[in-house]
Amino acid sequence: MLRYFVSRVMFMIPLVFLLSALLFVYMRVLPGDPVAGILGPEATPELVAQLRAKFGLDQSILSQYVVWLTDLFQGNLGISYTSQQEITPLLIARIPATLQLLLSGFFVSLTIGLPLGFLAGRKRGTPLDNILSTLSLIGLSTPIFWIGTLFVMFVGVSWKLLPAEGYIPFSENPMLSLKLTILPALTLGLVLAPYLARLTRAATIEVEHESFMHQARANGLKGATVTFRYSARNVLPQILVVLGMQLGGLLGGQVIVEQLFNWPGVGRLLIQGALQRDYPMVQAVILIIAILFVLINLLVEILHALMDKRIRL
Amino acid sequence: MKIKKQLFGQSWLKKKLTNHVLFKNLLDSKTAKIGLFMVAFVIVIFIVSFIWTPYDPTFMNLEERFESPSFDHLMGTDQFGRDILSRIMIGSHVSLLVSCSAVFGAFFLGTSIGVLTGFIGGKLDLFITRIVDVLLAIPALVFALGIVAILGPSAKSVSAALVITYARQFARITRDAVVSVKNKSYIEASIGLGHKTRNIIYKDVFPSIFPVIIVQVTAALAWGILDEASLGFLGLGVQPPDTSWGSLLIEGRQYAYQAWWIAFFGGVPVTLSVFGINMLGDGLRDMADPRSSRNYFPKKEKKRRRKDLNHKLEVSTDQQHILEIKNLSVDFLSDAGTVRAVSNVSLSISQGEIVGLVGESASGKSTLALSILKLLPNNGEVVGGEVLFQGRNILEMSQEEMRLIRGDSMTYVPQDALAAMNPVTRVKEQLSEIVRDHGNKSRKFQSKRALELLKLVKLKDPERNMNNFPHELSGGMQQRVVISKSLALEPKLLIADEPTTALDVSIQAGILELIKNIRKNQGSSIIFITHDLAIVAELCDRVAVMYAGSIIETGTVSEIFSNPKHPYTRSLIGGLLPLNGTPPARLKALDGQPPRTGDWPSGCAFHPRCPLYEQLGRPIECRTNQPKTSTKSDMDWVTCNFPEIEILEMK
Repeated sequence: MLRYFVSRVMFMIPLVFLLSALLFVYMRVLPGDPVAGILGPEATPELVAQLRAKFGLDQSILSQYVVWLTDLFQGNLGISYTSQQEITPLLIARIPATLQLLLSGFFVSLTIGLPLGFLAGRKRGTPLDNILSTLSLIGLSTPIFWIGTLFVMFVGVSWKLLPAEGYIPFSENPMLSLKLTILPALTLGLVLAPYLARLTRAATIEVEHESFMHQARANGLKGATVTFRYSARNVLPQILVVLGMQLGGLLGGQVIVEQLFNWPGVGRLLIQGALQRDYPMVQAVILIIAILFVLINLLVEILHALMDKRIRL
Repeated sequence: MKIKKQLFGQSWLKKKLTNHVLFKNLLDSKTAKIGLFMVAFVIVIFIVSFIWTPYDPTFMNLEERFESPSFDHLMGTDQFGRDILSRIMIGSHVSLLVSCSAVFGAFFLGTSIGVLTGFIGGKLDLFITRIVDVLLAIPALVFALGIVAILGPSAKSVSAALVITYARQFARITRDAVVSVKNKSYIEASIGLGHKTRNIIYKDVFPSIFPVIIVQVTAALAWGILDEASLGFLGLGVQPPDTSWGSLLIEGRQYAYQAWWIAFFGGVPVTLSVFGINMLGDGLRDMADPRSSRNYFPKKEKKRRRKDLNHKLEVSTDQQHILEIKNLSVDFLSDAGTVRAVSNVSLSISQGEIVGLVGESASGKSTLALSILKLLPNNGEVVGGEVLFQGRNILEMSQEEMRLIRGDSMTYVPQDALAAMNPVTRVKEQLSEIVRDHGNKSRKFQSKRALELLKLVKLKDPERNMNNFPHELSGGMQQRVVISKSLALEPKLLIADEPTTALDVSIQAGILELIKNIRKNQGSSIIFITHDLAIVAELCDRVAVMYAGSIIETGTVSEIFSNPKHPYTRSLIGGLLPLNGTPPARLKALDGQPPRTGDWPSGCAFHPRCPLYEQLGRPIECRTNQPKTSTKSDMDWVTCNFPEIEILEMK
């Protein structure tokens, strides 16, 4: 068991290396000049050269990469082109806000998606299943920024049930912090919930056809035993297999929700960076998000191995 | 672009498009039809907007700022007095053109990479696939954001970014599909025959992976519209004064406090288009995925090896019937209509008796077993007769009453032991939960009983194995565990549905021995469903022969084997003991095909295959009337018009 975990974690190291290299190349190979972007069309050649030297852009790509990688291992993600500040502390300061939203959004999607999908799968072909399946397809088709805006307009502004936007750290004012989290988390949760519901429904139907379900009934087990110990216990590992990849959607949604609710997280750094062509910033945030994504997938894989006893470790 | 040209130059694609099952069935699916209708609606709006919009979408009229929806402006006006509806219509140009071109660009780029790497294989494949995998570790929207950051915000960069973003997925999926197709024999044959690689790709590989790709394209189109709108909303798409569906929502969000209609109507077109495409995609996927149409009885009955016969002449002399089935009929509802799977079946089983239920596949054996357990699938229904278990009609019991009987006094032993056990719980838990769900809450008793049961079925090393998961046991051990589960509460009746069919012959003997001991020690009655007459001869006291949903003859084992009456029974026994002395490998296959479930011939269902029917010059009563029933003893009977006439062929 331990060996399995270690080998999985070891596998991540070359992956992160390759990721950083690809990311670096991709930021440099594509056409586009950040310096020209920052200084505008009227900049003098001297000024351009000066700025290029400052950012190390006058050196070869390889040496730029080596510098970036060495810095990276010392926890230094570089200097922002636009604000001229170090990126690492900027990022770290925003991580709590991002995690707060991400985790609560994930929680919302689980509490909506899993039970509804399971219910639809168990009641396959009934009117309830049809309603739930149509709802999840609608959810799948609705852009998140629209749902979010509607929440702001109706729940936040018209009905004044909850504060519409903003962020306060949990440590400063827990009550208000939670209230402020509800709408963004609900919006983010609705990104993943329809996928989860569909996956759960499909997995439940798959399990329903297994002969152990029939045998459980033939053995006279109680309905609750069949539902939870047979159906649900076998559905969960199946969902975990596909869940990892779907979480990418959640991370993408996070960026939009942060913008939508003025949530000062990592995602907004990415958007600002993209709008201002702040390469080091964009590169750093993407790397962080990708590593987060890989880590989540690793976690999911380990969880799956723990749940599905048939996987040999 | 070269590939694109060649693709459409080939006539096979055209043929595929019109002949492919996918497209033939497309209009049969309700989901796909609704989706198609919505997509068509969006396309019409898109085309109309080139010619006509209610107002000039760029015309600013500051006197009509923030007007709420009215007859003049159906969806209201924005902060510059521009008509929202007109802006939505014009916005479709950027949104649809950018997303569609991105998806098709990604399609050509991605499938080209996928097909080439998948087909060439080797190190190149390994290298590129690894890179694609690493790139896939960046979530789609974040990946696209990164590219737009480099190219600068504009509709063109969004399009380019989405091409690269989706190409990753296309490349990965196509590559996997190609590799799996490549290993199929007919492609290998093509390669072996020395066909040109290019031709193989076009003629063999593309058509096979076509369904996968088409489903992926629909999915990507839905994604494309959503992602384009998202990037537009983040301000990275078209720049003002141009409009797209995404950028419209920037204003919607900005003026959410003053003008709800901008945000409200602004999101409708994206949702509508994506919903339509998703419906279409769902319809397509259901058609491409054969698993969506499942058989109700997917269980396949396997062919059996013959074993040495040794007749057991033990006649049951019995008093009380544990089970009495009287005139039971079961119907199944299917797309084709109502099908009679079991018709007018009567059967009695005495205390401590082992009755063999034999018959060909689809003769109704399993349905009969399910009816006794009251576990018919939702589309099955008992339409007549009664099933008396210990004197009570189970058809009149509630499901909860029946549940308490199942697993307690009536149990079921399945064919495939491993598949019938919960893969995620230990043997011990599987046994104790049966005891628990039938009322004994004591944990101590539950685990004591579990161990006792495993010892009873002679499981090797029960203390250790009870803590194992089912897949960790050998096939024989699995079957023993499943049997022990059915013995948990000392059942009066065991229904064993080919419990030895999946096992090796040497293990089979041990299981049969176990079943005999159950009867000896617990006095349980057993219905033993099987294909294997050798097992019947060895194990059973009585036999019931099923054909076309009816039991056509019953009798003691000695009687059935020495003096079968029904021509069908006689053919079965005749096949087992041929005169030339060389035992055949399995049941003699009777001439002709067994009838399909519910599609029984008129009169005596067996008459089209009956040797007597031919011999007697095709008597009309066999064709038109139900065959008459003659009793052989107070328990046994045969349903044949001519049970006494000798069959000449068999001599």
